[in-house]
Amino acid sequence: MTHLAHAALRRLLLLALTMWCILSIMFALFKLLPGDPTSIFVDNNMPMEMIEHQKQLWGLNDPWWLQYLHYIVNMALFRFGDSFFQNQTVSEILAEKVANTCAMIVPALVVSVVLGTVVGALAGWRRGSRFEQATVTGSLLLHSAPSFFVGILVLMVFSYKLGWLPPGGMVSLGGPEGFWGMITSGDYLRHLLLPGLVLVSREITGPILLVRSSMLEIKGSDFVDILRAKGLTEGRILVHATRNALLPLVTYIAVMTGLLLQGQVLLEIIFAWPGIGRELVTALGDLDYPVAQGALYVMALVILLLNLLADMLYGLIDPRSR
Amino acid sequence: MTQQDNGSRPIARRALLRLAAAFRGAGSLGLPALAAEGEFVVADPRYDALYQKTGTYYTKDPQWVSWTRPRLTWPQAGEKVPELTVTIPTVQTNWLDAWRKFAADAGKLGLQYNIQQVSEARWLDMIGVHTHGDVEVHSAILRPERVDPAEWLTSRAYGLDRRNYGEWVNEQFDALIEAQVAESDPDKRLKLVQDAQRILADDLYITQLGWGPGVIEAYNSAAWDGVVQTRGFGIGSFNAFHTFLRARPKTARRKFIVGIHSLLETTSIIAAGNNMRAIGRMIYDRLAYMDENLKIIPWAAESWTRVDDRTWDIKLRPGMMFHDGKPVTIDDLQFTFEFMLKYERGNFWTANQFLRKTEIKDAANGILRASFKQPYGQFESYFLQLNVILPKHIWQNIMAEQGVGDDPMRVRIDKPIGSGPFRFGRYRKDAELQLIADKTHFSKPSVDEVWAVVTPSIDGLLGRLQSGDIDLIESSDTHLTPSQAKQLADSPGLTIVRTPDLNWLHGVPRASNMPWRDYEFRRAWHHSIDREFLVKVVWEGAGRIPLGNTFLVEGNPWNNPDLPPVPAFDLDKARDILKAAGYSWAEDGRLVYPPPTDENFRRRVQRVCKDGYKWGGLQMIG
Repeated sequence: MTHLAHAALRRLLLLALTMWCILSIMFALFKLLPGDPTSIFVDNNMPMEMIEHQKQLWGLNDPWWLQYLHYIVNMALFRFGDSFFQNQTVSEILAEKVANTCAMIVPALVVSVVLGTVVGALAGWRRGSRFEQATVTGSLLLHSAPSFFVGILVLMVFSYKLGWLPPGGMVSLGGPEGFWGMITSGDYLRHLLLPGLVLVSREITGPILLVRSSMLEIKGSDFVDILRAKGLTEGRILVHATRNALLPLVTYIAVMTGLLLQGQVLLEIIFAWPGIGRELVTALGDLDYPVAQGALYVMALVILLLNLLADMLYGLIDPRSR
Repeated sequence: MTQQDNGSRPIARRALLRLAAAFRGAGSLGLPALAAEGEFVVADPRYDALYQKTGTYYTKDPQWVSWTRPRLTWPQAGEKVPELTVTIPTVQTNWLDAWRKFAADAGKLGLQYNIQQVSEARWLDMIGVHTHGDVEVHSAILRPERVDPAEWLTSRAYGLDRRNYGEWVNEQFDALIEAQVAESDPDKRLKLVQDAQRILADDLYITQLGWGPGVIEAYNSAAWDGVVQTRGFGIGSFNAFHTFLRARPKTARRKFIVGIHSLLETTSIIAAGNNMRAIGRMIYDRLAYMDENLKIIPWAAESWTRVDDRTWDIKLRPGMMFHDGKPVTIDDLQFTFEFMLKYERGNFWTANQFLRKTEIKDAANGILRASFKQPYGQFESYFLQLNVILPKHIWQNIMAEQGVGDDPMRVRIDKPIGSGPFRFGRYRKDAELQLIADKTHFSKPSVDEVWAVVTPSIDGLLGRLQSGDIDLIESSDTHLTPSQAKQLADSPGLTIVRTPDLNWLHGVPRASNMPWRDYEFRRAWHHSIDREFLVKVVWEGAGRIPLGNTFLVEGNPWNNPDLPPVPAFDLDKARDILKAAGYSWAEDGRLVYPPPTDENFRRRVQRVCKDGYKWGGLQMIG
């Protein structure tokens, strides 16, 4: 077994262990959650036997260890069960919501990384310039502004007052149907603009500051002097330097995606975007255990997998880290 | 027999009890112990059914026992009245504002409050098993079934109902509640209901803190005319959908766009929550409906005839069609009841719990005979209001086809087919729902389409209303505050509408426990509540100071207009009442119980009810 394969296997085992811990904590938390889902769902007038029958159907009367066993096995096999309230399987619900959330955060992620890298590289390259000062100050300001506040603000200005952009949702009333139909329409882009802008305004600051500081180190390194001595243009040198400055960004993208997943919960509520964050909040409020557990599971798994991917990529890109 | 509830039990508590059992008894975990045999006694043994024999509740619940035991123990000489606990869900900031003021005022009488804020789920859990403390606070959200008087009178004050959070057991009141639910003559039932309200008010059990908040709404009057105000519901409630039938477009746009903050969680009317259930009744015809003055009107049932006090003949309206083109027949109606009786254990159970059987009496004229297990007083206001007609050709084999066993909650209906005034149109979950008017429906809807657009935040709804993106906000549980209304009033094209409300916010003291068992204490406490503060400050004037301690507020067709007035806010009077009743004050200003030798005090505590009424609930220990 190669060193890389060995490292990959070790990390996969670690991921499985971490996932088991997360699942166990989730199980305990849901058991400790106050409230009885039947108190919301089942008519309060019903006699005890009927309420008990309903609990039996949902498996809520099984001993806790049996519930735990069922839960772990089902989660491992991606069998999330049925929603208590939505007459759909959790997988169906989550598939739709994850896709909708991706439709918001993937474009924001791409724009943030690409634009943030360019701006950060330029700012680092032009150290001491007004551009660098403005970039750093602006980044810190944007990073400090709570996204829910910025979200409400841009909605008020660009949608309610000026009427330039739609006030929420993924498409207009009666707009294109089906996921692909939606995301390939211009209407979707119009709806994406405001939440996307808010997401980018916050997420872009990470790549900017990271690439800038990485660039500051690289700028003074020997290979830059050699490139300059070879007579390369400033632009070409900048491209070479930027490529080297990207290394820390690879791992940061995984962290950034996690932050994006957390941050978009409020934005989905503000912009009426039917994504996984809003679904999670609703499911917790309704005590829809299967949906809430499934949503948390998916979010945790995505973050862990991205971290794993970042680790593996880092190993491939930089042999020193193996 | 009356409409009653035997309860549910919380999972977290059950898990804890099982854990305790595994560790050989609750005591080993430091948990409260169960009641000793015969420790808790009820004055009338028929209430044993609730206190002693209901699953793991009350005397079998260590938490309830640990709260109740000291509160049923005679106070010692010089003992202070204990701290009074009020539990408020964190989302109810209005309640909190009001109770902070009530607590500050009560402090001047030597009463100390402990106001606890908990999550809504926790609050529901606590009130469900009566571990919420001294006062249960609750507001009313009007739904059609709640216009019926039994909904609140039974659930909040009937001695055998688990939702009687103060465990008040007035035998005369209970007898009237049992009589009214079995009284099929509306006039006689009204008299019984009004008499019950009089006892409720006279015995000073619940306290109405305020009538309201008011129903304030705004709509796009530049685009629509002819909105209908339904008493208690307003113009924009899917529960009272007259506006969506009768509004007239002023522009070329004939789509009525409604902002709604709750998600449309499922398209199955059987499994639906409150919002989707209301929408469902626009798609599936109900049998009777109510007009804008809450008067019962025929709907899918053209008429009904009382045969005797437990039998009715229901005549189906002729010529109705389902949205797939099939005619609505008496077979469909009978099938619906059979389906509900056989499988349904959720939303429709309340309406059908007393139904014994149905039979087709005259197929040619569409007449179905419904027989009930007992004389039935809620036929029009409950049974006909809540039941819908399911198409037999779609539902008869659906359970087997979908392999859902005997659980109708799991039946999946992606495109509901009913016979109601609106056809189910386009639906994007959590985003939008299109309801297309069926122009052939007997109600002759004037709009072409109604669109429900989900906007989860109130700011979002207000913004969309201002920008003309929606025509009104669905108002089943979202009303504007006066400040919000003022903000919207300046927006061109919007009109503010105020509708007389039937809402209330009330407090339910634990009447079965000390100090509430003492009628004189309750009387003084009622004088410590500054209702004007709630109505004028917290609700910004959008409400009324209650005229009587009743759930059926002025404007409700079942209201008793001759109730004793609600005790006015008067701390001096409250102090005088307490003093005259033998209470005193400790050096630190806290209120002290009358001495154990005070025979009047002992008599009042044992009686609980005002002189003239009979107490049937918990007795003092020892």
